[in-house]
Amino acid sequence: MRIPMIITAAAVALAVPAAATAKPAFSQQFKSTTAVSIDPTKAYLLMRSPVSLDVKLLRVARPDEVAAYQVERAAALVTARAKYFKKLASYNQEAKAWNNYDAADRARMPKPERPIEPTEDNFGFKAIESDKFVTVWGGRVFDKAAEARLIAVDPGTYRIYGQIFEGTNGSSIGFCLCMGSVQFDVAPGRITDMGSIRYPLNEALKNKVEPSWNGLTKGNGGLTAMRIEPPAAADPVPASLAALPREAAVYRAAGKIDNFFGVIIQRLTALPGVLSYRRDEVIDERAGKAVASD
Amino acid sequence: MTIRNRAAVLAALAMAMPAAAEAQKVADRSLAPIAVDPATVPLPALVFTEAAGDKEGYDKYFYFVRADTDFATAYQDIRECDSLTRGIRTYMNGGTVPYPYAGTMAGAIGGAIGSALADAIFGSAQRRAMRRTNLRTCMGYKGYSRYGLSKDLWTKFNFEEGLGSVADDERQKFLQMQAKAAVAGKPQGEELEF
Repeated sequence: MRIPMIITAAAVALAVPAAATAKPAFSQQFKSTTAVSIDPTKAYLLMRSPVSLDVKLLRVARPDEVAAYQVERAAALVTARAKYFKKLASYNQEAKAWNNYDAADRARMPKPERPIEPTEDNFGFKAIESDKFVTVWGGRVFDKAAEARLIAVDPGTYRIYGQIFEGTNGSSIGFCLCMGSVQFDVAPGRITDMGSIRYPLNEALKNKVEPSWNGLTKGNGGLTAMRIEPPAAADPVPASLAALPREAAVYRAAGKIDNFFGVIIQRLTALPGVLSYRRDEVIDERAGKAVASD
Repeated sequence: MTIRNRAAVLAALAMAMPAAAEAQKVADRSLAPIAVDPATVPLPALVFTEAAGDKEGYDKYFYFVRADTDFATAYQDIRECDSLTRGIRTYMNGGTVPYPYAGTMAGAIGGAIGSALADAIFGSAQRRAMRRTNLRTCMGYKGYSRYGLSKDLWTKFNFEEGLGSVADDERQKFLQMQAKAAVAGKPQGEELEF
């Protein structure tokens, strides 16, 4: 039985509160057998790839989410400081007692450890990005001929974060594009065509050839583990999507970002006219200047 | 791609397990400048006669060099790469969000138990290998060259990091010596591939 995914998507959307409340980001990836109808409140990403690896995307926090996050963090800091002062009082008592021990007891008893005061500068808190990752599963192919995956997400600005497989035990395998990537805007009610995600090193290994593309070679030759082929007019489009509103992703450079998953560090291969590098400095080719680190 | 191929690719990419971030952990700002007088940092010994077996160890035992670079720049570069591979807060979100330490994703979402399981599966050797790979990649992007060292000399100013963690004061001393080596001039040895 074919169930319009929009029903599921709507149900999930209702169950997901505002993004700033640390719930996982909404995403719903379509199977090849799923009928597609466009929910005007959701955005749709069409991504092609000849390789079935999971791609991690990160939605960039909106200014209102940053503001809400800062409020949440400030409240958590107040709580942490209250706990700290209780711990400090206990420490003072324990330290006083320890100081009164004789030498034999001191040698036997561990010296109490003074707690560290949480401050604005040193307070550890969840990353604002923690609820903004979505995964495009490489193995869930929407259209085999087009090597296409289709996923519904919340509208916004998305960054290609890396190729990461997450195990059910909390482990992560793969690589992040932590030292340079691209981002693009995703509008609601339409399909954004991301073009193709390619893995030049992986594909060359599989095809038993030396990796090269656009004059780049591996290592310091500039070719990295992932590159993007922006959508072209000749790209195959799944027949079931042909009549739906669709537009090409407009890529722009994205700066360095943290290695949240503790994986291999990479960067996206330079994309002519969009992304280049000056040593490790990420250059926005459209603006002709370096990009700040995220 | 078959499942077998996929597994091989994933394995080839090397493994990484997020270290668990402790709740409310307190740490220094990752990349806030640390002022260090280079005159106070000892220059590690870098000259050695290559012995049998040394060359095979250059995948593990190496250091970075870049011409026309000062100590402060090299130290900051090495700290950035060290921080990135550890998976701790490295960048400041363009300065808009004041959270210096957020730990890894698994830590942020409470994955400490999962990480422990992952460690049991992948082990310390893979973590150490990933650190070496990441430092090579990161410093390579920054334009540094890589040169081999004997294990004896390497261990005097480097450390490996597997399941355990090196204390920050000790870490910074090592990183400072690595920065000193990075700006000490062109080595006599052969430049290695990244």
